[in-house]
Formats: sequence, C-alpha cells, structure tokens
Amino acid sequence: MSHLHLPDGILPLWLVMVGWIVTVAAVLVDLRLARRLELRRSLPRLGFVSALMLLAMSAEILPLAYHLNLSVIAGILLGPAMGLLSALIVCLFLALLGHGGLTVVGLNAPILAIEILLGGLWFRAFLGLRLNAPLAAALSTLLSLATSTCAMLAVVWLSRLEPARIVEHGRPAHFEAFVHLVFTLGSIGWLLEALVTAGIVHYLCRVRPSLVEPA
Amino acid sequence: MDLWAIDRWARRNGPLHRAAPQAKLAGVALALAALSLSTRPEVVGALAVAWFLVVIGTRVPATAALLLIGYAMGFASLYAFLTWEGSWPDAALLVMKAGGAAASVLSLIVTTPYPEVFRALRRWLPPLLVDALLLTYRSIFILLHRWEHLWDALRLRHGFSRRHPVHSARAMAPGLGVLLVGALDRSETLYDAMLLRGYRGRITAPKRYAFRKEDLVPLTLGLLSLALSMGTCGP
Repeated sequence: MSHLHLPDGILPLWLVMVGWIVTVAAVLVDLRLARRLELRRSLPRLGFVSALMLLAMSAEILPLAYHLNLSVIAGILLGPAMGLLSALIVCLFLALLGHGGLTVVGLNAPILAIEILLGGLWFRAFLGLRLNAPLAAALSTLLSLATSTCAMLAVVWLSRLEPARIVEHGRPAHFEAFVHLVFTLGSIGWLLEALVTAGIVHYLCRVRPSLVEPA
Repeated sequence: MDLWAIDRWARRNGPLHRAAPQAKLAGVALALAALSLSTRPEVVGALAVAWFLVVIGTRVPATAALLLIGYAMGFASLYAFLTWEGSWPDAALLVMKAGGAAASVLSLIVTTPYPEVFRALRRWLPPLLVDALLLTYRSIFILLHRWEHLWDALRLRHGFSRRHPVHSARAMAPGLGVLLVGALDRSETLYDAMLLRGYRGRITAPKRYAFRKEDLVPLTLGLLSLALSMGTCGP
C-alpha cells in the first residue's frame, strides 16, 4: 500500500503540483544534508537497496497478489537521508515501468518515504525499548505500513476535494467501501510484510549483526 | 515487470530509437499535457489508440504492450469506481486517459535505454540523484540473475504455496536475507572500483544535445496530440 498505482492525467492538477512541491523541497533539503554528511560513499548501497526494493515489488505472494516493499529494511539500512532519496528513485523507476504515472511520482515518493523513514525510526525506538530485533522490525513494519496506507487514502480523498462537488454530492459512498477493502486486505498484506521483514532482520542478526545494531 | 525485455526492446534500431532522448521526453510531455487537458472521451480514446500504435510500431509485441497499458487502465478503472457519480463518459475518460498516458510513456521506455533517459535528465536533476539512478539501474541487472536463481531454488526447496501465503512469506525471508547481504558486499566493492576508476562525484558528463532529423518523429507526435486536444476543447 506504499504507493498509488494511479496513472497520469486523472488526478487534479493542484494535487499533483502540491505533491511535487513537497517532494522537490524535501529532496533539496535532503541533498544538502547528504552533502554535509558526506554520504556519497553510501551511493552504491543506496543503488543496491533500491534495486532490491524494485525486484521485491515484482514478486507476488499468492493468492493475495500482495507484493513486498522491503521499505522498512531500506529504512533500517539506509537511514533517513538516503532513505528519502531511495523513495524517489524507486517511484521514478516504477513510473518508468508503467506502475503509476510520471506526474504521480511527486505524490508517491512522500508516501513511500513515510514508510521508509518511519520504519527506520520506529525500529531504532523499539530496539531502545529492549525489544529483540526481529520483533522490533515486525512492529515497525506494521506501524509504518498502516501510516502510509492512511497517507495513500488521504491522497485519494483529497483528489476529490472540489468544494462545489462535496456540497452537492457529499462524500462518495464508494470511497468508504474502498477504505474498508484497503484496511481488510491491506492488513493481511502488512502481516505478510512484517513476517518477511522480521525474517530478514533475524537472518541479518545472525550473519551480520552490525547492520541492524544501533549505532 | 519484465526488465530484460524492456531493456532489449530499448536497444533495437528504429526511427524512434534513433531520436534523441531529449526529443522523446519533450514528445511524451506534450502527449501527457494533451491527455490531461482534454475532456472528451472520444479524443482521448483516439490519442490512446494512436500512442498504442506508436508502441506497436517499435516492434514491441502487441500482447506485452497491452498488458503494460492494461495494468494502468485497471487501476484507473478502480479510481473511476471510487469517484463514480453515475456518468459513464466520465469513467471512460479516466480509463482512456490512463491508457493514453501509459502508452506514451511506454513509447519512451521501449525505445530509450534507461541510462540515456537519466543522462538526458542530468541537466535538470542534481548530479547525486542522477548517479543514484544510474547505480540503481546497474544494480537491478546485477541482482536480477541472482534473484531469478534464488527464486528457482526457493521454489524447488520450499515450494511456494498458493494456499499458504504465510508459508511462502517465511520461505522468502532467509533467501532475501542472503541476497541482501550479497548486495551490500557488492556495493562496497563497487564503490572501491568506482574510486579506482576515477570517480570524483560524477559518473557521466551530460551529452550535448544536437538536433537530428529523427527527433522530428516524437516532437511531431507530441505536437499533433496537443493540437488535437486543444482543437477539440470547449463544449
């Protein structure tokens, strides 16, 4: 649920513009931060983790057709500065593959970034509370996916925000049905993603604990 | 997402393949503007068909193109359902816009290798971001072999089950862990190799744009789309 699969040309222009303004501002701040922290060395890692996210998104867990995101893994391994760039890169690639429009990248990137950033932050916070790493990863995955799903639903809701139409028609009935559907099917997806993320973190703890230990 | 196939199609030779990425990007931008501005389903439908024919004209198999475009149209149908107000023409407009937009972007992607697209974008995007895009592209193809082998091995050893998604998810995790550790090791080696080969913060220099006659193909298609859209605007 980390991104809208909506194509170009169907979302209102004002919403697309707001999305791009937010994304460009965040990326400019992030690039300045990356320069100050000299994160250039992490560039190949950013490339590989983003590539792995893209490959994971092509793998479906049947019969739900849920595709993995590995966004929390990206948040843990890349940190906030590179995580934000990773969100933009993944969304750009997905758009160039026809999964979501190019103009929608400005909206998709912040949603995916929420997942990556919150996933990484919650993971560190849970480790601070002395939870074991796989459990911390599972909980952070559930929380970050729930948050990003709410953000995605907010964008869909905002896309209908034309005051005249709302006064005239009220809220669309289908939207509420959609919310129910997303939370019902989505929650199963969140559990699967949490299970996979916990499994990966468990493996990393055994073979390369330095990757998941708090700095 | 068949990345191998898309990369193979992009490296063929044809009039649209020979056009400069900048011209193709401009053509796609014009097409997207045309599709966004138009409010008439028949015009948007005609544009969608025209761009689909452009994609087919680049010798991409019709079924593969239909699948990629159909994916976008499927999600647009869902959005049309969500915003349904009893108007079939409005719903058709949304779905056709999605199809047209997907076809126009596809015409860029199946005729231009990704590195060329990113190199063309270097003029507008920060160098660090373009380098990251190029490295991600390279990493995808480094990992793709391992990914496919891993998938085959997992299928043979654990067996993904349609009935037990939890079993499938648990089987995936250690495999993905192996792949991840391998990828991180590879990223360290790659950075050292980049430094040895003289990397000082910029992988490639932007190519200077020089007009060639093939550039007229995407530009004309884009301009015609916009003209059709603007010419049929109004009640």
